[in-house]
Amino acid sequence: MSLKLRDLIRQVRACKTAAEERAVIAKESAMIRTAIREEQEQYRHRNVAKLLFMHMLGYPTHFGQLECMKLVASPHFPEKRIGYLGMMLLLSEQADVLMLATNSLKNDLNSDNRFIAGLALCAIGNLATSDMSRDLAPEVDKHLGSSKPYLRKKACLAMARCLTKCPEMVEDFVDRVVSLLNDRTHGVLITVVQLMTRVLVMDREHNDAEAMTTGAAMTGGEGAVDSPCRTAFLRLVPSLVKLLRNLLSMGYSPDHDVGGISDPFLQVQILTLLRILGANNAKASEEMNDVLAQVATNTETSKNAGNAILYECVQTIMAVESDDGLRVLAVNILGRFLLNRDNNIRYVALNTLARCIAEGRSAVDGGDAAAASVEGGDDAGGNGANTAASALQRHRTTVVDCLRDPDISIRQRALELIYHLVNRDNVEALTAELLNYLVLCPREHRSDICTRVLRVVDRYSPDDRWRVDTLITMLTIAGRECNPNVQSSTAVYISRSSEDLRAYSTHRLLKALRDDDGSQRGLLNVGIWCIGEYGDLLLRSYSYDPPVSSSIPVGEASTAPTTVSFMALEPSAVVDIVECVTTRHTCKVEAKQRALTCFAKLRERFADAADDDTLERLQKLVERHEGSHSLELQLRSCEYGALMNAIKGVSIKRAPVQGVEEDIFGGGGGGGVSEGVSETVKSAAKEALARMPVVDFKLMQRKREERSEAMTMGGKDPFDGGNDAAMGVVAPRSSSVGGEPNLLDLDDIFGGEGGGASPSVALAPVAKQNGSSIAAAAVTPSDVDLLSDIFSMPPVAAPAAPASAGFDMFSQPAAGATMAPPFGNNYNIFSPQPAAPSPAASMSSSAGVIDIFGATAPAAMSVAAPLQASITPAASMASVGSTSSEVTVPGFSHQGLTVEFQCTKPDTWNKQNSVLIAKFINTTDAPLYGLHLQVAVPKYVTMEMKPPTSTTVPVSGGSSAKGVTQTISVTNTMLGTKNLMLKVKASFTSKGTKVDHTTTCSGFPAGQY
Amino acid sequence: MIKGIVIVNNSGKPRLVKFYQSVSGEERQQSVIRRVFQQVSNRPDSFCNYLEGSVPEWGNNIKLIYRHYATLYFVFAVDAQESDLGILDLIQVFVEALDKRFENVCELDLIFHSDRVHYILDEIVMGGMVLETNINSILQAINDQERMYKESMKKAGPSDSVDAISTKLGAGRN
Repeated sequence: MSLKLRDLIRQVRACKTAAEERAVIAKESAMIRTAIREEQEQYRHRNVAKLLFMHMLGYPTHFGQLECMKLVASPHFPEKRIGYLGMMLLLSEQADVLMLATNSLKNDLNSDNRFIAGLALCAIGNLATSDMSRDLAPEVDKHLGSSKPYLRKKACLAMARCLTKCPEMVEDFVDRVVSLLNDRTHGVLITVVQLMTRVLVMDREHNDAEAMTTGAAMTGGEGAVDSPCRTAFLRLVPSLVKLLRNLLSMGYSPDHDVGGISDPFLQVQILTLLRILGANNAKASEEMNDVLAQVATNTETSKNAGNAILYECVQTIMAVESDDGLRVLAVNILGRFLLNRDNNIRYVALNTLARCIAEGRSAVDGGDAAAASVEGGDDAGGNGANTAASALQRHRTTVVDCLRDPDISIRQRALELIYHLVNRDNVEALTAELLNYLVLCPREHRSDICTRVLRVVDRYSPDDRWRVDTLITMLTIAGRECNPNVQSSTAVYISRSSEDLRAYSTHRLLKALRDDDGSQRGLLNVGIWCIGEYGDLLLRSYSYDPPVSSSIPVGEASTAPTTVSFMALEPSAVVDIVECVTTRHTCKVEAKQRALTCFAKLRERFADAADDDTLERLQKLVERHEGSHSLELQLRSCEYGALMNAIKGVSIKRAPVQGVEEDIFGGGGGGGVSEGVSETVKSAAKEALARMPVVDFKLMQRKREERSEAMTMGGKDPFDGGNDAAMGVVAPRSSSVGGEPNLLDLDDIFGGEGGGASPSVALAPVAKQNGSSIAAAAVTPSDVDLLSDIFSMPPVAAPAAPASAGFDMFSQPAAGATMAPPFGNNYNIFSPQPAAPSPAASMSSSAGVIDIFGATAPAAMSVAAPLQASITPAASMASVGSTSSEVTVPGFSHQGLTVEFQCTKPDTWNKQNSVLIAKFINTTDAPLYGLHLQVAVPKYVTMEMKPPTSTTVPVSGGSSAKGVTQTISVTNTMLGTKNLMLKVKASFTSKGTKVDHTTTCSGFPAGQY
Repeated sequence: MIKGIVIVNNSGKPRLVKFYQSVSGEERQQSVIRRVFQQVSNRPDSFCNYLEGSVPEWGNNIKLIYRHYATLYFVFAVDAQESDLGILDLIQVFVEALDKRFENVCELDLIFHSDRVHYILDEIVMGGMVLETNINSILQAINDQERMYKESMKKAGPSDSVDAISTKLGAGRN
C-alpha cells in the first residue's frame, strides 16, 4: 500500500543524497501508478496530493492528470478542491486532457455553493483555453452579476482570462464593466480595474501588431482610431477619477487600511489604468490632471504603501499628457525618492527617471513619424522630456552618489541614468565621476562602461585635449578589460590631433607605461604604438599651460590650473622603457608585435638624435624575433630587419650577385645595382617607417591650410604620404607604405588577426611551403633558394621596378589593397576590401612558387619572369614601359569621363595574357565621384580586375600624373582566332547627377589581343 | 501581470511553485526555479528587492521582486505592467495571511501543508492578477472553506472507514 502524504514527505526529507531521494520517489510513483490502474478510488485524493509534492520537486507526474479530472467530477468538496488544485498545477493549458474538464467546470459554475463555483472560476482564470473560454463565457458572465462579491470578483478575473484568449468577445462585455465600476466592494473594484487594464493592454498589442503588418502606415495623427472598447472605457475616466478621489477623501476604514492609507492596492491599480487611458489622449489627460495633482501632493510617504501610490502616480504623470508643472512635480517626487534611505524606493526612482528621459529622447529623436501619431503629442512629448531632463539636472549629485551604493542594482540604474544626463555642459564633471566609478566597479562591467564612456567622449567632448586625456586615463584604469575599439579610437584620436597634443599624449602614455605593472593590455598597445609613431617628440621637453579663462570659478583659486610639463627624454631611456615592458613574461604576443613595429620605427625616429649604441640596440631588438615561434613576429622581424638594412644601404653589399638572381632581375630591368637606385630604395624604406598617414579628408584639408600658413614641416610630414595615398596615385610611396598595412588600417590598428593582418594571412601558404627558408632568408641572403630570395631580395629587386617595387614583394597583397579603397570614409579605409583580393594574390604567388619547384619547371631563367609577373603585377605595371610595347586603346568618352586602356603584354612567353590599365580622364571642371567600372568579357576570355586606385576622378588638368587607373588582367584563350572584346559599364556621379554608361570596346589590335 | 510565484528556502529547495504564465514540463520548471534562486540568493538583505533577471521561459522584460523572510525567499516574477512597490505590499499581504492561518508560520508548515498554502494563494492572486488584498476577506473565505471541508469529511467519515476495511479485506483476499 502506498504511503500517506505526510510519510512521503518525511521520507524524502530524511534522504541524504539525491540518489536516495530519487529512489524513494521512484518507488512511490510506481505505487501510485498501480493505484491508478486499479482504480483505488478511496486513495485518489491522497495520491494526487503526493503527486503535487513530487511535481514541486521536479519529478514527472503526467500519469496523474486524469486522476485530477476524476476528482474534479466528484461531488465531495474535499475531493473537488484537491482535484482543482491538481488540475491547475499538473496540467498546462496545452494539455489535451483539459478539454475533458469543460463539462465539469460548467456544472460547478452552476453550483449553488459559492466555494464550488469559486473553484471553477479560479480554474478558468488560471488555465482556460480559447475553446473553453468561448464555451464558458456565458456562465462566467452570469457570475459577474452575482449577488455575492466573492463570486463577482472571481468572475471578473476569470473573464479577463477568457477575453485574453478570445479577444473577439470583448465588445459583448464592455457594457457590464460600467455597472461593475459602481460596486461597493473593493475586491470587486480592484478586479474590474485590472480587467479593464488587461483589455486595454491587449488592445494596444493588437494595434501594434496590426500597425506592423500594414507597414506602419498609420502615422497620421487622426488616423489611429480608438477601438470601440477603448472609446467605451475613455467615457469611464470621470468615474475612475471620482473613485480615486473618494478613496483619497475616505476616512479611516479598518477593512482597507494599510499603513494609514485606504486601499493602496486599489489606488495603484486605478492609477495604472488611468496611465493607459491617458496616454496619447489629451481629453482624458485633462480630466485626470487634477486628481493626479491631488494624489501627488496629499499622499503620506512615511510607509511603503504611500510611496507605492506616489510612484505609480509619477509614472502616470509622465506617461499621460499632463502639464509641465505636474511633470516637474513628478520629477521632484522622484528626486525626493532618491534621497530615501530605502533601497527599493531609490531603485524605482532611478529606474523611472531613466525611463522617462530615454522615452523623451526617443520621442524627440524619432522625429515626425513617432510624434505625429500622437495628436499634439509633438510638443508635449518633447517639452515634457526637456522639463524632466532639466529638473533632473538638479538631482545630479544625488544620482552620482548612488554610484557609490553597495547594491549593484542601484549602481547599474544610476549608471544608466548618468549616461542619459550627460550633455555638453556637464560632460567633464560626469565623466570624471564615471572614471571614478570605473575604478571601483566589478571587472565584468568595465568593458561596458569603457564603451559607454567612449561614446560620451565621442559625442560631447569640449576639446581634443580633454578627449585624449580622458581616454588615456581610462586606459590606465581599465586597459585590461576595455574593448579593442576603445584602444583603436584612442589611437585614432591621437593621430588626428595636433602635433602638440601628440607630444603630450605620447609623454603621458610613456609615463603611464612606466608606472604600470604591464597588465593593462590596452594601455600597452596604445602606448607602444604612440611611442613608435611619435617617438621623436619624446626627445623634446613638453609643457602646457591650461588657459586660465576656463570655466573653473575664481573661488577655487587654490586648485588653479598648474602647468603640465614633461622632461625631455634620452632615446636610450625610451627604448629602455618599452623594452622593459615587453620583456615581461606576462606580455602578450599582441603587444610584442606592436613593440616590434615600435622599435623599427624608433630606429628611424632616433636616427639623428641617438648614439650608435642605441641604434644598434634597436636593430637587435627587432632582429631578436627572427627565430620566434610566432609566425607573425618572425615575419615582421625579418621584414623590418630588411627595411632597416635598406635604409642603411647594407643590403646592397650583402646582396649576392649569383647567376640565378642576375638572370631573374637582369631580364626584367636590365640595369645593374647602382648607387642611384639604392637611394630610392632608401627613401622608400624610410617612407615605410614614416608616420602613419592620417587619411581623413577634413583633417587633411585643415592641415594643409595650416601648413600653407606655417610652412614649417619638412618632407617628413606625416600628411605628405597621406595626401598622395588619398589622391589615389599608385605611387611607389603609397604602395611602400602598404608594406605595413596594419598600420594603415586605422580602424583595425589593433585588429591583430582580423582583415588587417593580410600580410600574415597572405603569406602563410608560402610559409607553409617552405617554412624554414623564411627564417633562413634574412639571415643568409646568399641562399640559392628562390623562395628565400623573394623575401631577402628587395634591394636587388628594386632595379627591376622603379623605387619601392622591391617592397611590393613583401607586401604584394597589400599593394593591391592600397589601391583598392574608396577614400570617402574616415578610418575604415583599408580594412574590408583587401581581404578579398589578397588571398587570391597570395595564392597565385604561391602557385607560382610550386610551379618553380615542380618537375615541369624548365630552367630557372624561364621561370623567373612568370614568377615576377604573378607576384608583382602592380610592380611590373609600373615598369612595363621599358619591357614591352604598349598600345593605348580608346575605350569610350561619355559625359566628361574618358576611358582609355593601356594594353601591355607582361609576359613574353605567354602572349595570351594581357594587362589592361584603364585610365580615367575627367574632362569636366569638377571631380567625378563614386566611380564604378564593370567589365564583362566573352567566355573565351578570363579576367581579373583590381579595384580602381580611387573612386574619385579629379579634374584632369595640368598635373595629369595623378590620374585614376584600374588594372584588369585578361587571358584570351583563343588568341589569334578571336579578338578581345569588352563590354563596359561605368557609373559615376558628375556634379551631383548619377551617370550610367554601357558600351562595348573592341578596338584592340587584331591578332595580338 | 504576475508571471509566477516561487517560494524557495535558503538552500534552493522549492516550497511553493505557481506558474501563471505556464511553463510546461517539469524540467523547464525546475530550471526556472534554479535560475530564480541563483539570482536572488546572491544578494544580501540590505540590497533592494528588485532584480531585472532574465527568465527566458517567461520572456525578457521580467522583473523579480522578492522578500526574504528568515529561511524563505518569496519571489514574484512580474512584467512591466505591475507596480514595483505594490507587489512588495502584496507579498506582505500573502505572508500575513499565511501567518494568521498557520499561527506563526514556519517553513515546516509550508512543507507539510503545501495544498493549504495554495488555497490561500488562490484567494489572493488568480490568473496572474490580484484578487483580494484585504486580509480579513481572505481569511474569511479560507476559514469558510475549511469548515465546509470538515463537514463533508465528517459526512464521508463512516464511508472512509468502510473503505479502509474493504481494502484490508481486499488485501487479505489477495
